[in-house]
Amino acid sequence: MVIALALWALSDARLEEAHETLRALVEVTGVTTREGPVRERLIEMLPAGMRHEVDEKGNLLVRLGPEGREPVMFVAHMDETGFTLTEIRDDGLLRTERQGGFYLHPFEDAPALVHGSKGPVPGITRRGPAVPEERRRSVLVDLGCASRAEVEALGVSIGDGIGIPKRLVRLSETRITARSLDDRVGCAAQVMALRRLDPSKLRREVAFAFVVEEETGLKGAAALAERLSKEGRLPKRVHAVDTFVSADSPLEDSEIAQARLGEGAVIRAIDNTTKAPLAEVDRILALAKAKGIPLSAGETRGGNDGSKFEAFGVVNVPLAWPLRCSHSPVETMDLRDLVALADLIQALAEE
Amino acid sequence: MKAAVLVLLQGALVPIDADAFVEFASIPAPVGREARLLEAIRARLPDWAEARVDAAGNLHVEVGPGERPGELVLAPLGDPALRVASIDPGGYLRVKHAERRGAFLRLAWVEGRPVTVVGEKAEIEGVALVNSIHLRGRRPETVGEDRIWIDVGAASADDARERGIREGDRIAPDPRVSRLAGDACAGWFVGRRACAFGLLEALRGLDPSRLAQRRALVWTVEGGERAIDHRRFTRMATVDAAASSDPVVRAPAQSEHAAGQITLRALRLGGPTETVALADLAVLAGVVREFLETGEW
Repeated sequence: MVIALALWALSDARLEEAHETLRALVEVTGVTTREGPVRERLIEMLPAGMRHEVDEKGNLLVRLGPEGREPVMFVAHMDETGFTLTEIRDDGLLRTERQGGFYLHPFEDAPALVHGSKGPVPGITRRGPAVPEERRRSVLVDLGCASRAEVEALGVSIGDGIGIPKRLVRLSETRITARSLDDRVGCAAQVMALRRLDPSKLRREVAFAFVVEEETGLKGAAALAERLSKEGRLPKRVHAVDTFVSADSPLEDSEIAQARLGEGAVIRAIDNTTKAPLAEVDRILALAKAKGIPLSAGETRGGNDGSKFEAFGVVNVPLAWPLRCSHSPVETMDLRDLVALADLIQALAEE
Repeated sequence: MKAAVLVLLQGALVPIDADAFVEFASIPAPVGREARLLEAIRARLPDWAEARVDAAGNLHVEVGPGERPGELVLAPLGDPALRVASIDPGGYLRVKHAERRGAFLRLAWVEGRPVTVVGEKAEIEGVALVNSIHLRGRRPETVGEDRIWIDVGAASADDARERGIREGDRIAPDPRVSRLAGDACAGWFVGRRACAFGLLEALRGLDPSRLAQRRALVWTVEGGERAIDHRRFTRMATVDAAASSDPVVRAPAQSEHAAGQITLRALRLGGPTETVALADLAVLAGVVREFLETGEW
């Protein structure tokens, strides 16, 4: 593991920028297949005059620099794990379907928000039938209604996304906790890099993708790769920008995922879907060292959106930031890692 | 018979300000650290109420003419909680149950959720760690104290202490209260908190000129009931929540009152989604007010 710490200067202003960018993205909800509010917020946050496109799948794409020249693409995902509403029972309780993989127990007997057509509706989750956790699939949601008609009057309908009330809490100057840091931190890093890039000075085409449905099988990225392949617009290199699930926790007993919170960005050199080319890993580590950006490389679990481009011959080197308690209500990260990740993206875009 | 009782009770309603109740119920008040809640009660007392705090920390209010109150109504404060048993060199807080007996927090409902560390001078937000599903760590069937690690963002034990955290500080679970449709509210210990609020609203709803005799109201803190000399009073009642298996959250008004106990029904008592109906709370406050005014159950 290589760590470059010496030259990198981190100002309070950058920490505050990271915090505010992240806060703006965390406060909107985008359960898988219901990413619209996140996409709208991202479009609001793009630098003035920056053009964007939204494809049929719902992916948001921003392109900068000379078109078609050695294109490089960064891909973060907009969706978050949660539930979708599958049935409104006669007694007013809601049946749900889990979207993405997560332990259910922190979400059982907990506050909930159903994102209906008239705005978020508060409720509470209740356990389903008493069966072992590994066999439980989802939760019931109770809005305090006694009938289906009462539920529908609140603007709640089948297919609505269901999350938990979210709040970005600053545990210390740099440590942050909230639900859905995976992958709002990736989105925030891309937005922060976009703000600092001067398109007129780029020597290559740089694309930033914000994709849908990562949590249920990298579907948004797969659709994007397929479309760009058909259009002959595939990048030469792709960087998924997503979490590095970290074992930096006394609860974890893992020989992998050794990246501590607060020590910089991480290259996901090996995960469940990708083994990044070693030469590329070394090159990026050297670039970071030259720029004084704290960066390490490691192995963790999970898949990444960039892997869907590999089938088309695109080189994929996933970039990440350490995350503790992944896919839980108390995901935890360090703002210094977000700033490092944004700086790394900027450096790679300006190469 | 039941219908007749309900009609009688409906006549005694005290209106409940739902927003004020949610704010009141969202104040962390773990056992031994009830000061902030007591401040909130004092701030909401009517001007004419005579309030004092005894040596144990209980808040007393006496109303009506005369020197010595004959009747007493008590509302217990202090929620089941954890306490900081030690601070790990890495800055994590290790915990024990704050109580030695009685109600305990179910730790399975603490893991992976927000908490508040309540010290003598400050409240600090934290989280109870949980495994990342990607790394496939499994929690044991029973979640014990050794399984709970509280992250307050401290880099070391010294860092945690510099932020004011001490062994013995209380750790309260997520204090957020959800307001549901049908005027129900859900959250940790919302039933007991509703009773404390109901006693307060009963007092605020009183017309002091109508009081024929002196009455006492006391909000008790951890262990504070022992400091009250029950022999001073001819009658006393405790206002508290009790479990109900009623599956309907928006149940009809169902406060029950009997000698020594005025009860508010709560669903899922003792859990993070404990639920009460504000309609029931309005009835409870009405019953208490009637007792304060007339001395009759």
